[in-house]
Amino acid sequence: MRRRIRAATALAALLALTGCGIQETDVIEAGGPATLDVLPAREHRMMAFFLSPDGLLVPSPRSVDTRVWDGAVGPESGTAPEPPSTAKTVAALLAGPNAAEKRAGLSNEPSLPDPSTVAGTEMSGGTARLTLDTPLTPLTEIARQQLVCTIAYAESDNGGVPVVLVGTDGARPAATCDNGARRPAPTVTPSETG
Amino acid sequence: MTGPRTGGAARARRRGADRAAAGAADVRPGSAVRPAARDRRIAPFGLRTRLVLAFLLVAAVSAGTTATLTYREARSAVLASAQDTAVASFREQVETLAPELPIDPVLLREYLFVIASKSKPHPWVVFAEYGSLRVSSGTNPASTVITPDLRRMTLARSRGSFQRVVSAGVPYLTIGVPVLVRTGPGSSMPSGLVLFAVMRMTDEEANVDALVTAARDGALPGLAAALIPALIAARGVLRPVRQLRRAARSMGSGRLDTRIPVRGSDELADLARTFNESAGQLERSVDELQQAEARARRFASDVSHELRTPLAGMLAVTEVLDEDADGLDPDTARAVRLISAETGKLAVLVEDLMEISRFDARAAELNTDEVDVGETVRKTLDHRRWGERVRTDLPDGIRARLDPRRFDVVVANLVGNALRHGSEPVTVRLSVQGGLLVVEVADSGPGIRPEVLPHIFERFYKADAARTRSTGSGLGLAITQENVRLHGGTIRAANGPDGGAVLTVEIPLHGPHGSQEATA
Repeated sequence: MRRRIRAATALAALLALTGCGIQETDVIEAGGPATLDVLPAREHRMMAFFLSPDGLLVPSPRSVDTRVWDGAVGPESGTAPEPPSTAKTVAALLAGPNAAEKRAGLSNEPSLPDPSTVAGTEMSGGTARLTLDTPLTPLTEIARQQLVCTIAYAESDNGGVPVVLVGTDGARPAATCDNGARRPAPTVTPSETG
Repeated sequence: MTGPRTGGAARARRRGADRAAAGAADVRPGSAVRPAARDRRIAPFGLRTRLVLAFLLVAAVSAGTTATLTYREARSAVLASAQDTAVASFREQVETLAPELPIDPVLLREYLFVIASKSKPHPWVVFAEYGSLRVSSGTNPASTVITPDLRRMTLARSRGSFQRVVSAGVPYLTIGVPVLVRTGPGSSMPSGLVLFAVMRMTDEEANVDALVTAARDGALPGLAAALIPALIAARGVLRPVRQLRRAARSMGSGRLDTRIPVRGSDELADLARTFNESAGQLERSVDELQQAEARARRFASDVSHELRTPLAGMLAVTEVLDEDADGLDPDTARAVRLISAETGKLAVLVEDLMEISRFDARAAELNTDEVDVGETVRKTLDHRRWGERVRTDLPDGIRARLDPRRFDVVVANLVGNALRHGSEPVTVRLSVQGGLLVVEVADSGPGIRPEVLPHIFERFYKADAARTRSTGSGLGLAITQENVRLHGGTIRAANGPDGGAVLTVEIPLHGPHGSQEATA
């Protein structure tokens, strides 16, 4: 008798497991992201990384050079346009989001220092270096990422440059921008992401 | 102490004789067929039901499993096709966007309308998140269907994801695609913009429901078809089983020559063969027993017969001696009288033995006649000169169909017993109760001890073990019982409320009926 009950239970379980109609699922990954080509060229933008309300780094490019539209620089004039300097870009980041960025809910990590503390930036041996006239200890990890990403993307197209932060209390080890970006591996020819 | 043992043996012998008589009466060689109404009924959990259920279960499981697997595969295919199309086309649509960063909500809304208008395969509503902005192509800027899991996955990973959600009974496909911006050849980074599409899967639901219907419509005829072999198989098993049951019942009712036809060579045929062999052995054993019994019975009968002739001579001689005893000297006279008395008893015993032998051999005949019972009883008492010693309650006009001679033996035995073992007054009471003639013989003695009551009709049973010398033959009540039985009646002994023994005889008024008349 018990065996019969067990068999019936197994059958019922099988039927229940099957279910009818459309079942819910877990989240399933399917394919890659949508990749858009909407960033202005590095020569014509100043890109700062702000924080979204979800704590994610959101790039905000600002067109800075109107000369390209006037024809003052560019292929027609024969003058190669220069990207805005890293120091200016960092100053723009530390100055905080503008009106449009604020409307989208973007903000700065509060522990970021004042723009006036930027003592200088330099690029040497493939590593960018930012010197600040303030201690680095109060900086949170996410604030440091804002700085690192902003500098990395100011110094290179794909943000792959290591960045060393130097404060009055010493230097931090070189760090790279960790914003979920896809970069081609340094040794391998163009990536598979397309 | 020899009484009970002899009685038991005699009882066993009688039973054997009954059975032999019943067997001899209606032997039908090979009779295995006796269609009874209850053979046809279907037991709630009989073999047939179980077999049919087992067949149906197997059919249901196989049909169900097949249908289930097919259904699952087909459902997966239907859903996968819709999902893949939707995910691919949604990403394709998102990639046609060219928003300016940071996002302008008004412009973004325009873009979402464009994407929504190119829904594929079904209309979808597009939701966008950027920073704290929430924009959609529908009426609500944020969706209630998109789960936090999908949102978190889409924000955290640079990959598209989807999830099926059932909300209020309606299945939805929710797709999340993060927007990346290209930062160079082969490199990109999250832009902070993520887009979600929410699509109702009503068409897919209809398709899946159609699959269920199809699976059911396929499985039910399959089950119905399985019923036919189930019934055939059940019939194949049940027919031999039914035969076996009938044969067993037939054997139980005494027809030991019952055999089952053996067909085929399966387990059931083996069973039938074994049954037949066992029945044969049983028949042989019973036959031997019956022969042994018949021999013993014949021996008793022969002995009685052989004793009768010399006894007749002895009786004649003792009568003469009795008459002359007065002229002999006192010692010799006492011896002669003793011999005479004992010879008389021996003659009674031999007569009783012969009577019992006739009963055992079923040779006792019932010669019924319509008589006035009261008159008959009165005659019996008068004949034995018990008129003064017995009180009677004999209503006139009770007529019954009886064998007068045997009824006389019954009444005489009962009254004689009462006078001998009980004490006077002895009462004979006659009445009619529901078609039965009731004769009650009661005495005023101490009654019968309870432990003796069940045995008093046994042959040679002595109520008092110490009393080795009885005035009776020890067969009186046994013969009485046989006579009552021959009439189709019953006899029972009990103690009355006043302490005396009461023996009650009940005989059908209209004579014995049924087989007893035929077999007697």
